[in-house]
Amino acid sequence: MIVAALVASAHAERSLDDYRYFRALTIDFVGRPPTASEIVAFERPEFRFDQWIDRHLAGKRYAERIRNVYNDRLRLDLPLGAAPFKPPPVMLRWTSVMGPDGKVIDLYFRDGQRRTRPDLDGQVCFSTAETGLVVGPDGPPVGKPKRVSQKLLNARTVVIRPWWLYADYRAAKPRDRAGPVWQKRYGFELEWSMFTEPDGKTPMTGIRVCREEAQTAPTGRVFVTGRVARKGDPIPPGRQTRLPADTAFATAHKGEVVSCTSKAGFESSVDCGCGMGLERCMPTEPNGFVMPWSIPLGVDQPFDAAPRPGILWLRTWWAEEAKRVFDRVFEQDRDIRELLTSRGTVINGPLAQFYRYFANATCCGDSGGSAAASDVLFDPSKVPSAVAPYEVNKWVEVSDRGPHAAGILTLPVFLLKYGSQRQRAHAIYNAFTCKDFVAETAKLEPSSEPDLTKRPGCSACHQRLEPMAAYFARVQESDWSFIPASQFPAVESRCTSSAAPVSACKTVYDPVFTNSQRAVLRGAYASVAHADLGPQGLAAEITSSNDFAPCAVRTIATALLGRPLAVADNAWKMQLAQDFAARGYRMRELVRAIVTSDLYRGAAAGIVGETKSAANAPAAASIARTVAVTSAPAAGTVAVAAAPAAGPVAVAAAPGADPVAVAAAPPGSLIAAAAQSSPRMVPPEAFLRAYLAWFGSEGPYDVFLRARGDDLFDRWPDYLAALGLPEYHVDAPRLTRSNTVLRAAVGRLGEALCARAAQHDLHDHAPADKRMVFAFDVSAAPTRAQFATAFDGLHRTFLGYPSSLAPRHRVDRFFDLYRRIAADRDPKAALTADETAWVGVCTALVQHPEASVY
Amino acid sequence: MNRRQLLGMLGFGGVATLCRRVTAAAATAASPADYFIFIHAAGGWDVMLWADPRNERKGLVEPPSLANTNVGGLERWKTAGNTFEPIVSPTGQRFGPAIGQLYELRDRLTIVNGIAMNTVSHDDGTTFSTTGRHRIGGAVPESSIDVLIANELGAGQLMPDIAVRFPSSYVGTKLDGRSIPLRVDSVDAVTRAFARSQHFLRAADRTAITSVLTDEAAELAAATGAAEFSQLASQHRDVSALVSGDITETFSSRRLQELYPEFEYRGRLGDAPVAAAFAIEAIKRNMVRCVGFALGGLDTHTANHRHHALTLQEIFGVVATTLKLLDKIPHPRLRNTKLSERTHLLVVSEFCRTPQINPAGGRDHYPNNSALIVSPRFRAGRTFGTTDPDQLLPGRGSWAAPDVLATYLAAFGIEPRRFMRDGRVLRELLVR
Repeated sequence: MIVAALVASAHAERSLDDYRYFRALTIDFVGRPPTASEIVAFERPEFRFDQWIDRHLAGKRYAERIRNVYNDRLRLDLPLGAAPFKPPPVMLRWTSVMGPDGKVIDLYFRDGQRRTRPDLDGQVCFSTAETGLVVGPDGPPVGKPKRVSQKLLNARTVVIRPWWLYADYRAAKPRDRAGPVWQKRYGFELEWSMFTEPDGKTPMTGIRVCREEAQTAPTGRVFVTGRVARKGDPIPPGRQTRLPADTAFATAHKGEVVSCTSKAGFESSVDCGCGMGLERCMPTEPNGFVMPWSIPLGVDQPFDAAPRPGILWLRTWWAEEAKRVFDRVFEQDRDIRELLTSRGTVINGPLAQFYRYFANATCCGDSGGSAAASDVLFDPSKVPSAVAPYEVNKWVEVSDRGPHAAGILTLPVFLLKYGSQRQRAHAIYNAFTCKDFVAETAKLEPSSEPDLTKRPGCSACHQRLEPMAAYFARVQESDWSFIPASQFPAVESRCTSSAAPVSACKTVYDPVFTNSQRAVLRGAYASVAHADLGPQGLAAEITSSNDFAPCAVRTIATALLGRPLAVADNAWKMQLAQDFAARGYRMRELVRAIVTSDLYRGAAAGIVGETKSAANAPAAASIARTVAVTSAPAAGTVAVAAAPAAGPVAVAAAPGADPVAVAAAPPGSLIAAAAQSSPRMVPPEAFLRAYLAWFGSEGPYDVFLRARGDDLFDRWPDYLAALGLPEYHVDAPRLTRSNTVLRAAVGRLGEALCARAAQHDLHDHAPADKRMVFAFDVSAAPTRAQFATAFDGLHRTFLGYPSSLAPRHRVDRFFDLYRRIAADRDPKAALTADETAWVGVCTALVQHPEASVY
Repeated sequence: MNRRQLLGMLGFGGVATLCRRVTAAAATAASPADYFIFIHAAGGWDVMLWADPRNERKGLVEPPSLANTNVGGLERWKTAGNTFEPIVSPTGQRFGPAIGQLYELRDRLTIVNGIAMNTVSHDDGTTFSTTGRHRIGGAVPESSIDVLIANELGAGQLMPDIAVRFPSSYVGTKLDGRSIPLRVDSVDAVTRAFARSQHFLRAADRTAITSVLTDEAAELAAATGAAEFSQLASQHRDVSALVSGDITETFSSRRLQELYPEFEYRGRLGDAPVAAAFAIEAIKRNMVRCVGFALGGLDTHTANHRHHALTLQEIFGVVATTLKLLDKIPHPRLRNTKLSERTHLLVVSEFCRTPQINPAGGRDHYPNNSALIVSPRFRAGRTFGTTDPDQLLPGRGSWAAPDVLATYLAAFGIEPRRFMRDGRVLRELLVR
């Protein structure tokens, strides 16, 4: 029996403090409570806390824990409806036409694609007269379809093997087509509609796309029509949109070479398409990308998945990029100032595609050339060529994004989450200096003063905030596009109020701060110098602040101790901050110092106590109880020795109870620290991982499959709301919930999983190495001693320590529960009386109050 | 177990709950028999259509008119020229045409006009209206009004605070963990957790399990002095009552619609009024302290503003129906008392809409606001606060959202300064 093995292996002296401390460390550094085998390892004599801590401070879960602390502040994810990425140069729209044989054919095109035929310029490559269909601004085409001849079809369109269907799409003849193994190979699924022709049966071997979109040249020539747009121009007959007019750029650069990955190239050249295998474009319809959804445990362990349009595809990866940037610093124990200052990042296939081809499609500049390093936040030439767009699980480090990159400050998810320059500065100031802008009054006096550093009621905060916000003056609001100094100096004389305005004057320069001598870049009025320094300037200012190190200490200590730091902690905090800075702002040493402190150990020790009425033993004594299991015991008995340093205090035990020795609190125990602490509620992610670990160490989907049926369990999303997981995309904070509905939800889940485990382990007699929870064989109507032995294994599994260290009545109480459930069972029930009783014991333990705290 | 038995059991549970609440009641001098409904009129309402009626073009004000408003179906629209004639109650309260059937209950309405918002952002306005603080770096800095009420008056309740799309926020470490709102998209999400299979454990088994868990938690609480364990003990008791009954069936969206056909479930608000039905049924069973929900569709920047008045009328219809139902239902614990005597409603929105019509035919966001309170603790049949005639902005000596919230807390004996940074108590709003 595994339980016997557990007990036999345990011969080290471990106090309840130690067990609790080990459990707390495991929750913080592994992300879940310890498993039975981890407890066995902990109980071995050679176990050393310092070695264990060192080993886990190098782990991914540790990095995730610390990352979550920062991400709880910054909440780097975007609302579903916010900033959908759909610039026309990137969006490959789906529509359909009727082929010569009367079958419907999918057709892809770009809105705004330049074509030489005036009747088709800027819209789909067939007219309504040719297809009988009207392609509106969105959705499927409407009208009565007419057959399109093969000749016309061939003239206007071409069949392409695109990047989302072929892994070798860049080959001359792509053959490696997406199929059932696609998900395993590349990490994501495509909906069935992406694999088949419109009939739902015929395998899709290629997609038909308008010829102009299929072009692959990196550059084109500027195309000029001589058209001028006038307000009120009618829409020409047979068209859905007005004819595109020549842009100012096109007029000025007629016939010149233009980059096909720039906005100017898309708008002003008929030579620019979507590139090899359409890799410069994203299919936006139908909902083809099956995206992980509800990912509290990481994108690789989704609780749900749903087909989504391609425009939401990148949103997922922007948020993941921020996580990887955090993890890179914490996993490699880099200087945490790199979170703000580093020019590096970590990207996967979709992000590589985005930065290489998509990011500059929204760019503001009129250069029309290839994006130069000086013009963008992420130099496309720095994107590794070895990552294909579909390689979701392949993450690579990019050491240098370009001169304007600055840690998380220039990531798309940060720039979109915090759309305005002030929001961006404020978020960083708050998260990394632990300071805030607090207005003196909630009321504002009416004022026409545009300078917020002077306006009454505003100046108190904005004298500080406005110059910080100016660092972001060159990054467009609600966008990642960089406004290059080469084209747009911070102070521009050509845009003065008296001069003839150039096109960018209205959008890039602030009319409120424009006079007869100069125009100032929007957002730069409080500090032109900061505008030119860019986000790197803010990073330098924040990381050199005297508040930076104390804030990092406060942030991490508050999270690990589960309480705000008090005045009494100040000296400790400042010493930690001093050491933190002296050691190069490395997080591992700081975390090690915190978790080895009495404050942390005290918080862990403070959650278990003896009842005040228990044989007059002082409540605190239980914290110092020490047990040494010396040998494999006879069933139901555990030999226990008292801690040698302190005399045992006799505790009256129930008849048949395990012999337990309770020691008085030794000098230097954690009682004082424990007395100051409240239990910490187990973080929701750890709670979820605990359930997964207890019931099979599988992913959420496997657990769902196992638990469903017999009205036992619904879907995961039905329960996630109750768990208090943070929802960064809607700024819902992490709330480790403790309410009745949560109790009910986890109770339902626990009961379901216990029942399934009993069916599998006990009723179906699973082999010992395949068992989930019950590592013993059921004996009918067990004696108390037999029960106690088996119960101890469950107690260790769910609560992390031997039942002999629990408050005295626990074994008896659960034995009584067992007998009550086993009595008077229906012989035709799914499980035997004893099996059902173990379901009850398991259900109680999995919901036990101690399981919720640490 | 049939419904009668369940109610009996819940009544028994109520005694235990009452005992737990005595402490809170003694500390705050507030009544433990009160219930609270919070409604977020989501999107930003046009106050000229109900609380602050304008029918004269003046300054920026372009009043609701036949040209910008669909009046078909508006029960209280009375055309005067191209615009409407305000409704004036016998006490002098003035209403716009979207007040609808709520006008019948005018003697119970307290309206606060001219609330300064200092924001025109949906998120920030919503936060400011419900917490009295603006967002900081996108984050909500203070707990919302429903959470504060739940913390003070409902922590021992079966479900202290249910928020069906209501913008509840729990912030900081000072409040009781039980008052963390359960934020859900639908009432079904609340009740699903209470369903239990009959294939393995029986109700009696679960009662025995609950007994063990409650005893364990109570002992841990006694040994450690940690409030968390006391809370867990009471929650395990509560769950036992909930999973043993017909809760899942009764609180399903379908069943609630059958129980309360008085609400409109297929109108402009869709089935959102199910949340109101849930609130009534849960209050009737003494299971909740606070229920918040959102009724939306008011963000009308374009031609859809023509329907704004109709949407508002439906929202006020939900309020009126709720009050009328509460009038008919006896208080679950107090004899000879109607539920409406001890149930308090607060209806807020994130801001109001511009007095001028924009080129797209709609109204945009505007930093003025109004609030609606229905509570015996407030002076009813009165409108407080003014706005200036030309710009629809808060008049001199007016107030801001934190003042309204502080007053609301004070009405129930809760000292606002314990929880709110800003806000003064507007004594003139309260019954003396």
